Amino acid sequence: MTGPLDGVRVVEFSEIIAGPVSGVMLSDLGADVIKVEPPWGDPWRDGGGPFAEHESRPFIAVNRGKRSIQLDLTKDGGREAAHRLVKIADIVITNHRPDVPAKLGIDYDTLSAINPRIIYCEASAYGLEGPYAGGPGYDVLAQAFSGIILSEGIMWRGVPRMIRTTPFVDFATGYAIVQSVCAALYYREKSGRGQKIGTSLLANAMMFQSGQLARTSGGTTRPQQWHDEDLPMLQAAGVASSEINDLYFETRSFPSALLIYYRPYHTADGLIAVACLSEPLRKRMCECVGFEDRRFEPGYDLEAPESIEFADHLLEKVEGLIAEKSSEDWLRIFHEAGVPAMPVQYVDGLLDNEQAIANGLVIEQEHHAGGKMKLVGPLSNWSENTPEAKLPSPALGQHTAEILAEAGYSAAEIASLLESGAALG
Amino acid sequence: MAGPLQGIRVIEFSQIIAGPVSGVLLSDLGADIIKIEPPWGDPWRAGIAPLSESESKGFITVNRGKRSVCLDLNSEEGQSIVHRLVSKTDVVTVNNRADVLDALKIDYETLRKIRPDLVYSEITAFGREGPFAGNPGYDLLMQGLTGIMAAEGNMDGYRYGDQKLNEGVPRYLSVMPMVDYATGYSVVQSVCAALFHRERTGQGQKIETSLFANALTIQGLSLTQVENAPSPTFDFVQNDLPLLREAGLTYREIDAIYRERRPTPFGAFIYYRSYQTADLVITLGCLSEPLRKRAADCLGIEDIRFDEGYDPTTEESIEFAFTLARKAEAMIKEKTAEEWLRIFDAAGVPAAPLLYIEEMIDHPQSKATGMIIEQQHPVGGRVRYAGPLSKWTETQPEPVRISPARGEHTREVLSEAGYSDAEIEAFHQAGSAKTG
Repeated sequence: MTGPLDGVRVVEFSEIIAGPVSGVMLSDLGADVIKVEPPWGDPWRDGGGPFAEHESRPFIAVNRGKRSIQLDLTKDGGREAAHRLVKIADIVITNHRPDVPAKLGIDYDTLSAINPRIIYCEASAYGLEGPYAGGPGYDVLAQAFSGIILSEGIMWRGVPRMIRTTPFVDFATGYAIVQSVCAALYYREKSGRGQKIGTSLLANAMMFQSGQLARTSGGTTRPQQWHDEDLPMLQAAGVASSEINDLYFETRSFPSALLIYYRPYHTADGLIAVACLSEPLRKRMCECVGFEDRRFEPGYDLEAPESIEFADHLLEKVEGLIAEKSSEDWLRIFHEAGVPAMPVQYVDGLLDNEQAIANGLVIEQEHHAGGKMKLVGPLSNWSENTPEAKLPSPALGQHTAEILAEAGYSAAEIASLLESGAALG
Repeated sequence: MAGPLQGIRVIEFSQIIAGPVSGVLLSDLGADIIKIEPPWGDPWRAGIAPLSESESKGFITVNRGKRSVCLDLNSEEGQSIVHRLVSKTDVVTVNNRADVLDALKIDYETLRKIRPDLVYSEITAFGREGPFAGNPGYDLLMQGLTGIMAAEGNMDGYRYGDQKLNEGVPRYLSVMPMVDYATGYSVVQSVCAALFHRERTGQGQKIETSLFANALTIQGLSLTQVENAPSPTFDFVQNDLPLLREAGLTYREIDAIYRERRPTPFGAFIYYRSYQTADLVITLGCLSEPLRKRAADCLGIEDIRFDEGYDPTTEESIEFAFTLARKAEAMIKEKTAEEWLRIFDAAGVPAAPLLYIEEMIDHPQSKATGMIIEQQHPVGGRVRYAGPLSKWTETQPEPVRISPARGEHTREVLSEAGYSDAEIEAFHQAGSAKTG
């Protein structure tokens, strides 16, 4: 059985992370994904330090499932080849700066004239309007611009640092491209019409922060007031960013209940996390751990100073109680009582994790330079279509000749394109 | 002009965050979303930033664009109403435990008999297989379990005035539940791909994804690197960690050892990070060598690590990296944020100001993109949040509805399904359907 996008051809003119992530997911869903690379290759081929020429592990992570064709779009022959590919494609994905596609002849107007049914998805950094419209986009900049770094407030070498575990704004944008092109395929199936879709790193950084944004609703909230009145004065006075950071956190509401019921804890021998987001679960946790929380009483004022003091004492007590037993004991106790709890682990063991393997989340592929590699597999299971991780991450230009032949070029024409440097590989 | 999913009807049984996020995104794409709530409502109605007994800003955020129908699925009557609604529905989303789906008669086998081409999307915590298959899932647990919390390694605790709590254990990322959101996104892509497939073949199906699967997916880059066994960190987790735990070391002590083993990414300490300028903080985002070289030029620093064949792993190299980082820090402190942003922009070096979310929400860029939408909520007053993610030339999505009150649309939806006023009133009296 094949994936739901069986027979759909994607041409990916995208680099680094966000666009390439969408290509991986589309390939898992059954699409034929052709990655068009410039003569020097996707710059991310060196990302995080290469282990062979043009190959790094972070590159492989976001390029499995694709075929690579290497074209010089500044040459007529290369551009012509790209256009012939688009003619037999359904989807085009780009994530260049807004002025670049037109220069390379891969803008929507040009490509939709060649193939009116084409679905063209463009991921920009900050959207196509506004003062930053032409701006470059990288996860760290999107984190900085959208408030993520300052909300998290983790200091490193005296300045707030990014969330470093994963470029999750890039990943979110990759997901958004996939959902957009799938919705557009559905629409095209009904109407016969292709179209251009634009999304941005900023849009997805904001969507992920929707909850924070709803709380930032202007005028009356303390953080808003702080932002409008205190912040300009502090900045004008040259107060250090670490001090401003401390003051900012004082204005934010104190999640006292969450500090007990939704957090990691030290046990006698390790770390566990508990996650009780509703009152029934919180009450169960009280019973398991053996403490009383009078804040469940109706009408209790959480903001009163004595309430905050009560919360502090209670927190210390709970920390003490949880430190008395081992992780294994607590997980068993919580599990039996239906209290959500899990161990805190390192990422390093995850690809050997029983749970991940049992659900088909770990795949193994033979990479031409890296040998056998374990990677994260498709993220959904389907009853009719089976998403499947197919090809390993390609070498630069590995499929140039093969793809040109599919686009209708003769062997002699391909040889001459390679000769002129319009196509490489 | 409406979104690409115009005419598609979705019934959402999901609760809390991950499932409801998918409903918001599907509604932005033009689908009609009917949220079926139990008599006590989605528990997240009492979520973060409460406004009243049954409304909170946390809930409003992930439930805009929907209509709410309140049904008691423990009653046969409530079940029969759902089954009639499903007969006119394209998509169902659930995130309940398997036994609950069976008990409420909203499992796939039951519903596909009513609607054979149904697209049924199920979110689980850990998948339906493996030792954790039946366990509950929350964003925090996924952050802990999949290594996000440990890799972030922020043990500063929470500050509140003079108080500092939670020191010494890693804090979870609290800005947003990123695993929940990723999972909500993945539901939308699956549902849309399945609708495309249904359009071509007439076939519906069930699709399952999990919080766990999406936590792994968004960590794809780290996972590719840790697999490089025998790497120092991999070796540490396999061999040293159990011994250190047995010896009773604190988490902070163990973390220090873990971090020593993690390789320092080349260049990352200068070219991809935040900096203090003479006044504000800015960030620099150079991920490729040409960009890094341009940044080095702007800063007037000489980075010998660009030389062919340079070995970044020797002791001198690490010393050099730190010296250069200190030099860059000092250089950047000499000019203001505005000056640096102008210099970097002119040289084509990716850089951005570091903003508070309260600054960003009113920033001309946020407004220009149309990403900030503002709605009036009957209880919450003015609320602002992120609008539709994408702009479409043919089928521009538009956000329509504010988050509904519990059961606000029970009467409307049931009468669309062909129930008479008298029947609806009788359901309300019996408690099988609540009209608000």
